[in-house]
Amino acid sequence: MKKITALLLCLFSLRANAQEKLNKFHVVDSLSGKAVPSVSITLVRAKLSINTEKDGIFMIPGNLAILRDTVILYAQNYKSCNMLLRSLNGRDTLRLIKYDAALKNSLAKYDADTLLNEYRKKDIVHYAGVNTSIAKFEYLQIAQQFYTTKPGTSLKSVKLNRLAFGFDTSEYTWTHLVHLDVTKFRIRIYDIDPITHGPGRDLCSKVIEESKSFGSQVSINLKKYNITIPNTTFFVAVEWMRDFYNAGYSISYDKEGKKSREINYRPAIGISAATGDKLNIWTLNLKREWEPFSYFMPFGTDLAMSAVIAH
Amino acid sequence: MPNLTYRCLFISILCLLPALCFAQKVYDGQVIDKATEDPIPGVNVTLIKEKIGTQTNKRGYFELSSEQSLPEDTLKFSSVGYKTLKLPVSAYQPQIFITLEASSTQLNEVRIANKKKRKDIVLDKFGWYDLKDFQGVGNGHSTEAVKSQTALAKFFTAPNANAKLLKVSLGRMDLLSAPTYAVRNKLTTFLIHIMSQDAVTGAPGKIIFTKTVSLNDNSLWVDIDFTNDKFVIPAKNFFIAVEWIINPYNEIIGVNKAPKVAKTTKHGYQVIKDASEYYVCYQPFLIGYNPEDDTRKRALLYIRNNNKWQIFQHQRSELALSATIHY
Repeated sequence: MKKITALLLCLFSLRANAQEKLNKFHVVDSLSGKAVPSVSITLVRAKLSINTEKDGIFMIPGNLAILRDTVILYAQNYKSCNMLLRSLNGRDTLRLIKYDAALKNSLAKYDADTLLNEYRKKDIVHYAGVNTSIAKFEYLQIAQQFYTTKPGTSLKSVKLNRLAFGFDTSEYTWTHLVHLDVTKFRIRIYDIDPITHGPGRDLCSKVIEESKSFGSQVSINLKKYNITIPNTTFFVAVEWMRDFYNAGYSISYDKEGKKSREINYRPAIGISAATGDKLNIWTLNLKREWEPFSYFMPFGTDLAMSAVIAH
Repeated sequence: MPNLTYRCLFISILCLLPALCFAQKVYDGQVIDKATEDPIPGVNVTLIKEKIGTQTNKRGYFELSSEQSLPEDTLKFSSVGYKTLKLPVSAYQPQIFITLEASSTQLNEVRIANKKKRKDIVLDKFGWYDLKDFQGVGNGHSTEAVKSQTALAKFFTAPNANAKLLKVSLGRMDLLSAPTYAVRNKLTTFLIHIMSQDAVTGAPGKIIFTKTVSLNDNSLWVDIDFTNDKFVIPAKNFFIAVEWIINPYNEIIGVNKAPKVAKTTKHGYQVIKDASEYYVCYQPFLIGYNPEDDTRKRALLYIRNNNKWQIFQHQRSELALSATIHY
């Protein structure tokens, strides 16, 4: 698949006619000059976001000098880069600056495992990640906040439930469609931000990428990453890889019954059926700002995501 | 070569054994009185060999999760005042209706001394048989999902004005089968309106009573009790409307198969493989059925579009919606 260069930004491809200029960009590491894989490219005003593939290449059609928008480039372990779209005019290479934000993780031994935010798989009926008649789902990440009784614990594993059809229970066998729900996504671990009280800095600098072909339950062993939780709360987020592999569609209707069909990125994440007394779900919007996710309130306070920590 | 094949087969069977041993199965359905078709709450439902059990709720609904799913097991239904019924799990069908017969001893002890003339009647009565699909059995019997994003209203005529509304019953469909493949969501909240008939248009007029209904199980037959509301229907002709509430609680996500065409490469657009196409619809799904008496005239059904009531053009079957009144 090396020949495959990148995805087009869909809206721009609609706007641009066949004779318009196609602007191609390489996103590279500022020091090594090597391609940065899976860079998130977001056009804030157009509300579009995609991920590049491993080659770090993306394209935007049209005359950049007259397009009014802000573009945000982001990759894990790199500083987020915001710039005006017109400033890309005439450039072909964009450099991201690396930084090591993750805390130094200790190799101390822990015991006495504790399960946080346990959920019952069979009770899950709601999912976040699909456009509905009420709201468009325009987020880059979704996070669950966990609470521990004391600081300095070790995060050992995470389990989550995602939307998947077929082969999941004995009653739901729909064999010819079983591979519709293939997905790859990333897991991010965050400390609490002292100002916003939402997700803050990364607690793991390594890329944790999971793939799933069928079945709804995803278990991720995190022992090898030696992740230490410095405070009494932390966040585990699912980062959508907005690329061709994860792309599907979602259909929604507005109040007048008008149908719209848009690109939708898998996976959709389950909402726990147990309602807590506090909203613990956060989402990262296209401006890369974390905000509480209140769509399923008052009943949906937590994601169907559990974590095992060791004291 | 044959040895290798047998070895592969043996290893495959070994790999599958744990899955077969621990295949979880959910048994659910409703237990009703054989004579009256009323739901029976508090019925003990047990899997005899696995030694697990549950009780039916106020709608006669039970849900029993079997961890072992033993093929030779038997479901046992027992309740005071009713004959015990045993059903081999091999004969179980999803969302089954179990009819229990009142025990003769119980009947002998009870004397009914009601000298008053019976005045309770069910308008547009349907039975449990009407709510089930029996494809390929005898003449067959099919049902369909009837739904709207707004509201549907069904026309009723009572024998007299000023009848007291006791109960509204409806059939609620669970979207289980292909091609409409969807998440199974038992939770829903919706509104039931009792409406007058507009004297000029004949369509639904004013809302004269509203009840909010919340359901939390997958029972096909839903009885909504109005006895405590002491509501009197002022005219002979009236409508019962179901209004959908478009909120996240009522969401059901379904999936279609769609060709993926958005990929652009050096060689142009490419179709690589099919993709998921999710859609969201809103509960409840009502049941439309074909009555045994095929000549029976369908009750008038209206749909609300842009705040105007129009005759529901797509009606093919009778809507499973009845009213029990006292006059």
